[in-house]
Amino acid sequence: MLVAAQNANLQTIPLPSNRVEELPTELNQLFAAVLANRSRLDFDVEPASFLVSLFRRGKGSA
Amino acid sequence: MRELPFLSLTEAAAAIASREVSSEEVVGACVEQIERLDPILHFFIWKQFDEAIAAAKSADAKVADGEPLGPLHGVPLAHKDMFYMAGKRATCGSKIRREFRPTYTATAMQRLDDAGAINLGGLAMVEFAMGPHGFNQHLEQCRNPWNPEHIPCGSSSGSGVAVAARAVFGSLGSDTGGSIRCPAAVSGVVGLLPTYGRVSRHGMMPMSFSLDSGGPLARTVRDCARLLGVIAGADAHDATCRNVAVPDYESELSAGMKGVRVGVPSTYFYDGVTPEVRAALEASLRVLQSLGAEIVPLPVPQSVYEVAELHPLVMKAEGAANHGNWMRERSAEYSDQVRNRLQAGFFIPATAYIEALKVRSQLLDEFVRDVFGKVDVLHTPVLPMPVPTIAETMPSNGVAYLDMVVALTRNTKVVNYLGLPALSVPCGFDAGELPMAFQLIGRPFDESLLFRVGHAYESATNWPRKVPNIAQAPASE
Repeated sequence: MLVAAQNANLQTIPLPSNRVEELPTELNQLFAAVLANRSRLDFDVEPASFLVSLFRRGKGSA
Repeated sequence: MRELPFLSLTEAAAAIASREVSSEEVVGACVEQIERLDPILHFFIWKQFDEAIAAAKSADAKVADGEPLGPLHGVPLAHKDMFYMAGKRATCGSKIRREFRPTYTATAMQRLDDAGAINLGGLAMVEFAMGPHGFNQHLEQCRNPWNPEHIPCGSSSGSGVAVAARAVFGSLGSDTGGSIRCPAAVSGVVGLLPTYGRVSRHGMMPMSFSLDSGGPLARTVRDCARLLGVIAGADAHDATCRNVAVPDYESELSAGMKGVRVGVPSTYFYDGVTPEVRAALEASLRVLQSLGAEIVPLPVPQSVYEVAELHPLVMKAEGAANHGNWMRERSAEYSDQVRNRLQAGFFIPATAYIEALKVRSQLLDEFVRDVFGKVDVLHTPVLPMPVPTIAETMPSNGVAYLDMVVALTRNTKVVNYLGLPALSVPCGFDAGELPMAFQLIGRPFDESLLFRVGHAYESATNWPRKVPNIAQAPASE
């Protein structure tokens, strides 16, 4: 059921058969970096924290 | 005075303001260059010459009346065709948006207009800014002005070519993974990726909103500094655009190199660099050292290798979300290359995408601590190899094509993920007489120092005065 629900959504994206074969390799490469960084994940950090870091680390700040 | 198209942007602005030359003459000289070179190099998508000449006449009248003049008064520019102007075309290099006319104007475009710039039209780009090589199936092949058999890079292809061909004095491009710095590097001009949030993206076509920045390409560092000074600053229309003071970049240009620590990465950025590019980079470091810089070799954090993989994950997920409706309903109107690039994004789970963004602040903190705790700027190659030919970057080239595409942005995309500013500066020519360039990466919001180092180097070497043969005026008959 879960997979079927997911498939119903993704079936709206047209995909030629050659890409169906190629995409798993591409996706595994992309996921590898997420897996490698999973130990860094901090429960209390949200994506917008990046902007705070950018500002805090900017010219003139400590 | 040199012939008009060969002035720098700041020289042209000064000449117009002092009535040494009229804006109409300058615009006319650019139009002549465009009419002669665009049929060969294909860097324009659409042109508005009549409107530009009318604007130039108006600009000249203001000079004659002694009215206050903006820093770009009467200077002709043209921009990547994805910066919106109300009622004007913004094709985004695509078939889908071939006739798109936005109802509002980009903040950066409005600021250029307020500074007195004149717009000559929309410049060639890769379809929806997706691709580093410069190829666009929907357009004539945009070509490198130093050798038309070589790529102009992308995705701001027309911006690099138009500036190098002396057809306009400056241009806005966008950069999600290298799309300002790579075209600048292979065209022999200067290109700046501003800090994420330094320049408003309101009215700039989105590609990947976490990674996109708009910025200038121009013939000199001073020209880039002038353009950034005009377009930078907070904007209520862009939530990421920070209220950080915008310095007078030009006043800080000549502070010199004494005491500046220039870092040379011993890891990541030189992986796969060819001997020719390495030699050019080393020569540029010797110049900086002779000007008083301290050269500091250092390793960059090992996590940069992971950043290089997290970048495409974020880019593809956001790109797929942006293009979802068109991919479902108008898929056939995309080129094969762009459609293929978008497909993977639909299969990235939201959790993986959010994880890639959650670690971003930590990876930035680590990079700033380990690099900018020891040096003031990091000096790296832009491209790891000499400028490829068009044939080498065609999909028909098989696996070599994919390797080439990945290599083109290897040293630039990591900077977008980290949100840092970076300046591409020409540093000589390869054996094929095509340009090479180095990249200066700085602390967040420290574009000033990048300009200062780039300007010192440029003043000592004079690369900006080199002009492609094709852009030289034809011999009179």
